[in-house]
Amino acid sequence: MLNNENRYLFKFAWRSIQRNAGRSFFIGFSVSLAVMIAVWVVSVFDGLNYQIEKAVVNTNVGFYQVQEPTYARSTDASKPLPYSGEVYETIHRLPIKSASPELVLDGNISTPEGAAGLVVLGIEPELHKKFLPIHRKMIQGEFLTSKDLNSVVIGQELANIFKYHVGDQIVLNYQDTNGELRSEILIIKGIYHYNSKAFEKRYVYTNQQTWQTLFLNQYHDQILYNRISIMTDGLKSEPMFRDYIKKTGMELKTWKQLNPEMAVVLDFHDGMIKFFFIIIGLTITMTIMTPVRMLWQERYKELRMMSILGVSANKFWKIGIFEVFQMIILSSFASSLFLIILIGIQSHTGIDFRSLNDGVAIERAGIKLPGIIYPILSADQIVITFTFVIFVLSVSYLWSIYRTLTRLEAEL
Amino acid sequence: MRSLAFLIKFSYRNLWRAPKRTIIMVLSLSLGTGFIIWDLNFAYSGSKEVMKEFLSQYAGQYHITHPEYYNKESRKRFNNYKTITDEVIEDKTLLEKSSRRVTAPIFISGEKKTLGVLLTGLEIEKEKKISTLYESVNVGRFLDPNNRKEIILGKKLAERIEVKMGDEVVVIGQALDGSVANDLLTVVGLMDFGGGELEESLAFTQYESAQELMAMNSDTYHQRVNFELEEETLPQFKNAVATRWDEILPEIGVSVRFIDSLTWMVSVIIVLVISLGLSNTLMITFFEREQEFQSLNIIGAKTSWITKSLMIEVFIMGTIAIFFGAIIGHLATIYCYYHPINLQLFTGGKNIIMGGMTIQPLVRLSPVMSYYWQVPLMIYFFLSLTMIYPLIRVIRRSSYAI
Repeated sequence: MLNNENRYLFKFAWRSIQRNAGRSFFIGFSVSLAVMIAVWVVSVFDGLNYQIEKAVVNTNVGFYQVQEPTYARSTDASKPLPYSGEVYETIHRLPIKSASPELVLDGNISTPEGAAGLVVLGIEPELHKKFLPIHRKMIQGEFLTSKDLNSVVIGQELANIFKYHVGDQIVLNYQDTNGELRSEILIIKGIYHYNSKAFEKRYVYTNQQTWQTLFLNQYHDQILYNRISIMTDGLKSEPMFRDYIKKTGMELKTWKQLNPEMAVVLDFHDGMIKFFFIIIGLTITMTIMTPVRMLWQERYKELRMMSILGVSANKFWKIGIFEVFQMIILSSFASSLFLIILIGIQSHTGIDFRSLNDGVAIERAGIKLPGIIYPILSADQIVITFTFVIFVLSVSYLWSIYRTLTRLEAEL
Repeated sequence: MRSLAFLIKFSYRNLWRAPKRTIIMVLSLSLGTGFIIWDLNFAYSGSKEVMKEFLSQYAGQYHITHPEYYNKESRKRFNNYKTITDEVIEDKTLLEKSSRRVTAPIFISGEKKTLGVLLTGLEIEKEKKISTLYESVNVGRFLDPNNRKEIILGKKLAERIEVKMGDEVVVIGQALDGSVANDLLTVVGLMDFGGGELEESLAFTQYESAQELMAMNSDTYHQRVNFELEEETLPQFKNAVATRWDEILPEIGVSVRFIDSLTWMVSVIIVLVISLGLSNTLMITFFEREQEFQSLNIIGAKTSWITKSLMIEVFIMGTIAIFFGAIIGHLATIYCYYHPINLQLFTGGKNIIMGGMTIQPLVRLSPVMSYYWQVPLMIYFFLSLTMIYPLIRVIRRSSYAI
């Protein structure tokens, strides 16, 4: 706590701010507004990056994938591993939300409407339901159960192009585990509408039993996997995941490794934001420095008089530092308040960027890019806000105090 | 006229009453102006370089095709039965600058896997002259124009179907006469697109091999790809259509437009921040001179005259700052022309992947003349806004004085 003298100086500093309330308000407002704008831009980009990340992980990628080594190297699905209790335990010891063991078969269909390459995913429906909400996005028919035989669930885009309906048959062409060309009939059990058109066209779901019978020519009566797709809160625990999975002999891949194009987009956004922050920081510091300096120069006579009365330079510094402190509190409060109000509203309404492409949704690297961006205000940004305000005001005030006191010293 | 000259002189002298302060204000506005001009030039040149590098690899500036080749709703879909010949291109100079391509959606089979890809038949010699596609081959070699039935694959695709250099792959598709198209092609090269999605969805062969596979006449093809767009408007044809890259790849166009819009937004924010600071400084400066304004009032100067002199003062200061700012921005731009900026600065050293392809652009900045009047106009606009509040306060106080 402050002693009597410091308490008096603190009050003195507060009175000095109030003496020129309008001017102090303007300085604080300029800093607050600049910081608010800067943090708003960051929050928009954070929102955009979050939505991009979400869109990528929701294309059946997950934040992490634990892959069987042969599959990791060449996507060869012929050496799946059992999803045993031990594997389950290993995965669930990590901070995860859900995990879906999956088998992956590349196949194709050829009809009078054309041909298309498909990725047939063999899933355990109950586990997959916890991983992705596709079972809630069925527009026709139903989602899979583990008891279905030769049933598939396809995307709306594939159904539209090939004019498929629920109950229709698909002739799937593929090479089985022995490399032999096979054509098998599958029945469409349901049609989903989820994620991008590219996703809907490419991904077809079947249960483990059907997949194993198709590709391995027999059902092993257990869950197998080429990869285990894992949903988490993000990539923050990557080092921990990596250390842990390394010991199991399996390969760990993050969504950034699986979709490098969008990973670089996020890195690019981060780089731009840092650059932008530096520029705004320099601009606002330079801009604020002049009025703060003038503010202190105006008080030169007053400081001179006080100095003659015996007030030491040390105390002037204290007054100055208390003023900076109070201005920092006021400006930080104002910018935080503006930010919470603005971003609070926009995080619900969103910011519409669809006009950049005449309202048409864009797909890039297999994901649907967000047209409406919902800014995110995080604790990190509040910390950045405070740091920014402290930096700008401290530099401006301390420099001005230093210059004024140097002049005072020279003249006395 | 004389009174105006006097007013200008009076305002100009006032500026130099506190030279340090004026210099700092001019400096901050100049640096802001300079940065904005540099930043806009950087954004424009960056977009141009990125697009140039991206388009010169494979996509080209525009495609001349049959009017029904590309689906009107989604250019990602195309009707492979719609072909054209050189007859439909009236302006024969276009033939020199462009390359013919045959597209074949096929299935490619390795020993253990069959995957769907787009096989493109290329005019090898022409492509080497006008595109940089051949530079992406990092294992083996590019296609030999004197050979037939060779294929180059993306690195990732080769890994997935487990084939290596010299292996043969089976390609199966549907020929244009309705028959089953199939052939055996030898892998002669692998392309590296930095792990982008095109690495597993594209394959290339000789133009003639693709024509033969698709049972096409020797004079028909699907696309004529032009890598140069000299004018903003696309050429017109009676029986063909030209489609620009941003219609074929809208996601890339939007990404570029997004960055451009962001740059303008940042510029406006910077001007706004500077304006707020200036407004503050002007207000303090004007209030400091309150007694002087009152004296001027007493000796007969009208409030409007004082207001005009203050406006001229700010205008002169703004003009000086903008002039120096434009010079600073221009010099910085020219410097970055000779010392290009690597965009990897923004990605922590990683390559940029766009449209499934890696690009490593060094941005050589070039000045865009329109920014040299657009930015000053914007600054004058904000400068005018900056003056409003301080002037209102001055006018009010002057009226009390009188």
